[in-house]
Amino acid sequence: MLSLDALIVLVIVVAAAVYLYRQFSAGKKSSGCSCSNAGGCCQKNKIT
Amino acid sequence: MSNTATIALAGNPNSGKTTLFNALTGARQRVGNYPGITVERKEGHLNQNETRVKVIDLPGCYSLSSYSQEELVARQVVIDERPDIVIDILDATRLERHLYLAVQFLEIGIPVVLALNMMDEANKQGLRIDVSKLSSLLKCPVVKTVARSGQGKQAAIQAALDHPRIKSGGKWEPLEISYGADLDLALVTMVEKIEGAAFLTDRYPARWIALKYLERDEEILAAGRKLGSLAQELEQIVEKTAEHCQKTLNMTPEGLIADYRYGLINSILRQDVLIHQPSRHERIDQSTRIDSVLTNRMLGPIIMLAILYAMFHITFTLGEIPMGWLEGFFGWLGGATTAIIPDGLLQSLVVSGIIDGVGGVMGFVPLIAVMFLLISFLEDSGYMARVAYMLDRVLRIFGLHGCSAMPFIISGGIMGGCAVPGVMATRTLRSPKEKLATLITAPFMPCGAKLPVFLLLIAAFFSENEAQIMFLITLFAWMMALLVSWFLRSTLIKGEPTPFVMELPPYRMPTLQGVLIHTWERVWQYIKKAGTVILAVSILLWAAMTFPGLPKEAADGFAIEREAAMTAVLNEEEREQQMIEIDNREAQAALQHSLAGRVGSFFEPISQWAGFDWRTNIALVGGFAAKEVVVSTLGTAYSLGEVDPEETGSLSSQIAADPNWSRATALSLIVFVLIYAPCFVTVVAMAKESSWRWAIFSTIFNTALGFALAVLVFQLSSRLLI
Repeated sequence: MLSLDALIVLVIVVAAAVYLYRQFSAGKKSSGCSCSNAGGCCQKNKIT
Repeated sequence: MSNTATIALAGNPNSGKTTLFNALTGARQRVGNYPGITVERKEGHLNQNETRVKVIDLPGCYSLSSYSQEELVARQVVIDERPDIVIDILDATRLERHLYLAVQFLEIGIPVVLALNMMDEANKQGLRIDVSKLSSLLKCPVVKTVARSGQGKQAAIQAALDHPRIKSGGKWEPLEISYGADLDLALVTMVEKIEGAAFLTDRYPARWIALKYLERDEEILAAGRKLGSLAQELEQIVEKTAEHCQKTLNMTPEGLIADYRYGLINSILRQDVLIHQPSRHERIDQSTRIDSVLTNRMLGPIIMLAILYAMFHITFTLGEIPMGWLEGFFGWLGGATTAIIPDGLLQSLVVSGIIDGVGGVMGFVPLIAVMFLLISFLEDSGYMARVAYMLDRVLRIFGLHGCSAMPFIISGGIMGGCAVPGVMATRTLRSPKEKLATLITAPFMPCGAKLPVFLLLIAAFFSENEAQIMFLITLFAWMMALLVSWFLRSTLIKGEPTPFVMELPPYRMPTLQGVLIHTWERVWQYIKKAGTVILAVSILLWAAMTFPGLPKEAADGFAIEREAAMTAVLNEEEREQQMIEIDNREAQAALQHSLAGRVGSFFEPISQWAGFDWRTNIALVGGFAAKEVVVSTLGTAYSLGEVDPEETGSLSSQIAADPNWSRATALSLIVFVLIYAPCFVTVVAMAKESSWRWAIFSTIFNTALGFALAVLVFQLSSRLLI
């Protein structure tokens, strides 16, 4: 059985992990580059 | 047009476009004096008579080729969104150069109004512009404006709304320029083929596509290649024409096109459109006079170094005071929290994970604020463009651009910067490839967070040559950044260097409000991004260094030792010493047993090649969150408990006395910390500036390079040094 202390810690750690994961996937989505270098498509996707 | 209209504001960087946009829409936006600063599109609204006008602020650009991000974006907005009209803002004091973009809008065919901005400065310089003649020669309305005072802004909007072509349905009428016999012939043939295949003719005029082929525009070439045979035919014509131009005129078609466009502009201006009447008091342009000193071949670099040194000196002198207050505040907060929350996991998380994590980031805010205040001042005054201009000659050798200098300097090129704003500063680079090379190598610089690590190791092993070693570290960082850039630009990010076409804007006295707004925008971005991400990483690292915790038997063993110490016949001081020693050993055992400790031990067989044991490995993993964490983690790992990165005396003597450490290990660790993966916040910033793909590449590449160099340094120096 988890103590209240441990439960709060667990929630905070999971929240941090979820936040980082969401940041990471949001960053990936917004760049959306599939080209081999930072050429036109990357620029286009990033800016528009 | 009914009751709504869309107007795009275009213009070269520093033409006052953003200022006019602000004056028109009332929106607050970045107003810079550094070419290429507006990267994103901005929108605003205004009401003119009974018309609701949407205003789009296009990125500042010099032409409409796909040469840079700004140019590509400006072109895409005009083509994809088809605004009703473009108001092209021109710096009236540099009319010839600024008309180059205007001519290209006219060539696309969109209705254009020319706004001759900075007319007050033009008048001061004795320039007289015949607006009606210019308007009749270019067949478009021309108005005079002074964006800074808002003069002429209504006239510009009204001229746009009254444009004859808007009233007749907004038809696009491309301007046709003759490019000489050779190119004209090729253009005619290409236009026939393009129209025959209806290749992109729903988007661009056929002649314009043909011109872009001759200019070897990447975007148009790529679109053409999807069509197969047509692209081959067009490219063959371009090849043949280029060969012919080279043989006959020793020029490329692209160069010829630019020459003819400037030829058209000159011929217009010479028809008494532009008359120069030097005023009695302003015969010599003030900016030119200042430039003769500030960009002088001999004096320029010396003044530049002095200004940059002064900038960092002021940053640290001024920033130190509020930094101390913040450190004090977080120290107090940590103490207060310890008193409120009872001993246990939650207290450890809040104090070590949250308060220390946020405090570590906030501690740098004063430095960042002062540094950005000074940088904004230099940018808005026009001096930063001169720094880029002077460094361009050196950086070009390594495949970089003059504009790469600032990201390097901000990242810690003169010690103590930060790679996060440094990486953000790469957005002033126009070429994506030069930008990539710069943002991958900028984190090599000795940022403020790496300093405590270097200070610790220098104090432990090189206390007699502190200054020299610090200087060598800076030199080594620059050398690595330049060499790696050169390597990347010759292999993975190959491409022609971008010509340094950035104009040198005239010197202006920045406004206090402008400088403060720019500083606040940047500082807030730092607090928001770095604060949130670093907080989350700190929490996770805390968890990795805390769990799964010691097994019950081991914990019981330490409890028994404590009981024994309590019952032993000792004086108070000895007992306390013994209890601290047991606590430290327990902390070390718990750390080794933790997830992070296991990772450290797992890598030890390999990391030993560079002289790193498991404790150093954990510290280096922690350094991925923030480089200062290396010091505090080493402290914990060496059974010293919490170690303040600013006061590393005790840890340095501990390390110096440890048989596992030597000068070779210290050198190897210095090299590794300098080069290996940037901190997580920097990686996120890199992903935002390029893509996650490149951010991850940089993390892996920099770590591999750092490790290879560390092994080399360790192996060599352990044989050479005593």
